[in-house]
Amino acid sequence: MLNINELETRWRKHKIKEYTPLAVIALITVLIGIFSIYVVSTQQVETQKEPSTLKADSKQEEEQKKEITQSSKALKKVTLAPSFKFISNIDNDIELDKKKEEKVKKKKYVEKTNTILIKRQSTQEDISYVIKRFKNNNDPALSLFIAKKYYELGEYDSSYNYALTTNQIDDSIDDSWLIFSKSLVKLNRKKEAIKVLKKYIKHSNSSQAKLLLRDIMSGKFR
Amino acid sequence: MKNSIYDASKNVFLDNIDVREYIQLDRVSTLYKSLKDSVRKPLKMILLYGKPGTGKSMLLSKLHHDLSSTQKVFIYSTPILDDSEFFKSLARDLFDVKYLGELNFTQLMLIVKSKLSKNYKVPLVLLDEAQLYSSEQMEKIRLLSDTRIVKFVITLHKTDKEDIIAKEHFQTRIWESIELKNSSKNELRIYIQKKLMKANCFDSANMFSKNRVNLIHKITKGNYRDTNKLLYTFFNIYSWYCYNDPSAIDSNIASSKIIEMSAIQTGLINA
Ligand SMILES: Nc1ncnc2c1ncn2[C@@H]1O[C@H](COP(=O)(O)OP(=O)(O)OP(=O)(O)O)[C@@H](O)[C@H]1O
Ligand SMILES: [Mg+2]
Repeated sequence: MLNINELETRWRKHKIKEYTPLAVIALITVLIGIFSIYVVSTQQVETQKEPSTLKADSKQEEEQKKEITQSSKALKKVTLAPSFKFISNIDNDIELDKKKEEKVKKKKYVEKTNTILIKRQSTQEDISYVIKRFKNNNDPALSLFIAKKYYELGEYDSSYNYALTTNQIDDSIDDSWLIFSKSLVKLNRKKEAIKVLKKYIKHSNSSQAKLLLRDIMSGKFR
Repeated sequence: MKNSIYDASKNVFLDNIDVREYIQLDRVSTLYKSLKDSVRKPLKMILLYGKPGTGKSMLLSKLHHDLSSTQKVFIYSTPILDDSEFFKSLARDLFDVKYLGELNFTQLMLIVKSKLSKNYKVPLVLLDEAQLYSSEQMEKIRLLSDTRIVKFVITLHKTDKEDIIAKEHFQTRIWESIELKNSSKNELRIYIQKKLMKANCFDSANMFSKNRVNLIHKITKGNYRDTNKLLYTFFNIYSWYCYNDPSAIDSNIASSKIIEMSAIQTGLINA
C-alpha cells in the first residue's frame, strides 16, 4: 500500500520543482548585481573627468558641461563638413574672444571670484581627461577640441601644439588650421600665421581661412 | 513499542464522526451555542452550511448527542431519497406510527393532524447532506416545517448551485443560517493536539510545533477532513520508518519531509 521509496523520489522531484524558480530568480539577481557593479565601476572611470572634488555651484558645472557639449558638437560638424559653417564659427570665435577679454578685464578690476577659478580648473580637468582619451585613440577631433580649449584659456603654446598635432593627423580640417594660425598670431608670430594661412588657402580654397587671413592682415584680429 | 504509539496516533485521524471525539474549538463552540439557541427559538428551519470537511456533520451529531437527553431529536445522517421511505421514517420517529406499504405526503399530513394535541412538543429533525435531496423533496420538507409540527436543522455543502437551492427553497422560511469555515492556524494546532491528547498520544501531540502546524495549514488550508487524511498518512509513514529504518525519523518533532510526503501520497500536493 505504501511505497516509501517511490514516495521519497517523488518528494525529491517535488522539492527540485519547488526550488527551481527560486534558484533561477536568485541566479538572475546575482547576475544583475554583478553586471550593475561592473557598469558602475566603468562609469566611475569615465566620470573621473567630472570636477567631483570641487564644491562648485551645480549651475556652474552645468554651464561648463553645456560648453563642452556645444564645442564637441561644433567639432563634429567641422570634421564632417569642414568649410560650410565658417561664418558662424568665426562669429563664435570672435564672441569667445570678446568673452575672454571681458574676463581678463574683470580679473583686472574685480576681485578674482570663485566662479572664474572654478571654471578654469574644471576646464583644465576636462582637458586632461580628453588628452588621456586622445593619447589612446589619436582621434584628430579630440586634439582639435583640446587645441580650442587651450586657445579659450589663453594658453596659446598648447593650443598651437595641439592644432599642429591635429594638422599632422588630418590636414584638411579648417578649424584646426584656423586655431593654429590664430595661436601663432597670439604668440606674436603674425608673419608665420599669414604664411601658413596662405599655403592652406591655396591648398583648400577655404573661405573661412580667407576671412581670417584678411582680418589678420588688416589688424582686426590681433 | 514506539510503533504502537504511531499506530494509535494514526487511528486518531480516521475520518469518522464520533461525538466522543468532538473537540471544543473557540469558533465552533460559539457557532454551537448559537445553534443551540436557534433550536430553542420558535424557528421553522435552521440551515448549517459550509465547504466539505468543515465539520458540519460533526457539529450536527454533537447537537444530536447533547439534546437527546432533554428533547425529542432525530438525526438523518444519510438522506433517505425514496419519498415513501422518508415519510415512513418520519411517521415512525415522530409519532410512533409504523406504516406498512406506501406512504405519500398527503397521508403523512393526515397522521400529523391526528396526532396534534395541546401538550405537543415540537421534535427536532437533523438532516445531514441535504444537498442530496431533490427539489421536490425539499419543497415537502419546507411544507412540513410550515405546519410547525416539526423543526428541521439541515446541513448543505456550499457551492454555487446549492446557494441557488438555498435561495429558492429557504429564502423566506429560514430564520437562521450558520456558516462553518476552515480552521485558522491557531485552531488547527489546537485541533491536532487535542485530538492526539484525547487518545493519550501525548508524545505525538508534542511533535506539532507552530512551524509544523503552519506547514500543514498551508497544505490543507485548515480543512479538517484534509488534515485528517494528511495526518493519517503521516503516522502511517512514521510507523513504516519505525519498522524499517528507525534512524531516519525523529520522534521529537514532526518531519517536514514526511508531512510533504504524506501530502504527495494523499494528492494534496501535485507531484
Ligand atoms: N469539532 C471537531 N472536533 C473533532 N473533529 C472534528 C471537528 N470538526 C471536524 N472534525 C473532523 O473533521 C472531519 C470532517 O468533518 P465533517 O465530516 O463534519 O465535515 P462536513 O462539513 O460534514 O463535510 P461534508 O460537507 O463533506 O459532509 C470529521 O471526520 C471529524 O473527524
Ligand atoms: Mg458531512
